[in-house]
This record gives sequence, C-alpha cells and structure tokens, in this order.
Amino acid sequence: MKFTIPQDIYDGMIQHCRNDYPNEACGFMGGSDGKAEVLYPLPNAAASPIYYRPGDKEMIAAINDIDEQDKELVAIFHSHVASPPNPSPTDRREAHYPDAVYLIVSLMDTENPLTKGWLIKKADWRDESGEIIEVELVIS
Amino acid sequence: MSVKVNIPAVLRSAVGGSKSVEAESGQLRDVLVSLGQKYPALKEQVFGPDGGLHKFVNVYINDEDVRYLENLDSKVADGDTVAILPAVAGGSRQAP
Repeated sequence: MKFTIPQDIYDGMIQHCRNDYPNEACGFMGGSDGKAEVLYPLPNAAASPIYYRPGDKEMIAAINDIDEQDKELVAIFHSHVASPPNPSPTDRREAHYPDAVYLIVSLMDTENPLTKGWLIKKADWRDESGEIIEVELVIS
Repeated sequence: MSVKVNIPAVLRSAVGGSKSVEAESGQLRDVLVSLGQKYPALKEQVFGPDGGLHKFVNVYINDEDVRYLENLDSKVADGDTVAILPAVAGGSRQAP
C-alpha cells in the first residue's frame, strides 16, 4: 500500500513535531483514497517526551471537520523524540483506527527527521495487539 | 428535541452507515442502552465486559470527556451532542 502526502502537508507535520520538541507531537490528516488533503496539528495533552494524547476539544473539532467535508481520517501522526519511527509496544496497544495510517516522525536527528507509515491491523479494533504493516510513503 | 450522537467511522457499520444518530435525553447510560437496543452491534463494542464503557472507547458530551463528568451517570440534555471515539494515544514508551 502507498500513502501520498503533499509536500506542504508533510512539511507542516514536521514543523509541528519540531515545535513541540522535546515533547512528542501529534495530529491528524484528513483525506481520501490513500492521500492526505488537510493537516490537523493537535496539542499533546500529555505534554510528554514519551507519550501523546491529543487534546480533546481540538481532536473532536478535527474529527467533525473531516466529517463535514466528507473526508476520512486517513492518518494519525506523532513523533518519537529519541527513538526510531517504528511502532512501540504502546503505539501498537493504543492503536484503534485500523483504516488510518499511523505516521511516526523520528527526531533522533532533529536536522534530518525520518518518517515511516504503518497500518496496525487488529482482529477487533479494541484489541491490544495486532499486526503491523509498513506503508510506502509518497511525498509529492 | 433530542440528543445527537456522533458515530466514529469504525462503528458506522453498526448503525447502518450513519455518521450520527438521534436518541432521547437522559443519563448517558440510558442514552447508550437505548441505542444498544436499536443497534446491538454498537452496544457490544461500546461497553466492556464489566458493563462500563470499554477502556478504549472515549465518550464526550459537548466535547467534555465523560470520565471527567460523571461517567455513565452523566446527564445528557436535549440539544446536547454526544461523541463516541476510539481512544487516540501512543508514544515511544508507556505513560508514567
């Protein structure tokens, strides 16, 4: 599977991650057909370098906006400030959007962020474990 | 008037594909149980084995997380909006 992110949206995601550094940053992308169209940078209510949880009001506003535009929540992104862009055990356990691409931005090298995309498939979306599948990212 | 309940994409198949459904006002428990009677698959996914909200299901009344209100005993008034959302969280390590 491929997931396409327009360059301006990709750059906005990286900037948001840098802005929240040294804490983890998070946000959504709305879109359709495997392509991001709108970026929703969200505050990390946990304000933590090892954990993220989007702010409730901003998250609901983003979800409502995506619905009103008849788009889908196509990606959920967050940063890892000191580890590679691979799903951690916490990321796997707390992933409950089987159709969204989970984008992880590693800021181990802040000058050269590295982003990878993952699907986290579970038999039941509420499960704590599931299969991870890397998604090919196309930045265009 | 009644209550609008927003349904997340992952649960829409349980309510015939609708983005939102209507319910009668009352305690949140009553709102969700009444929806569960109409949409049994929704009830199965929203409630956990202990009868409370499933730990990975977040419910908001007018954007307020019901865990910070009175949970299933929270009051839902006519005109309120209830949002059901799968939890969003994660990170490089477990939260302290």
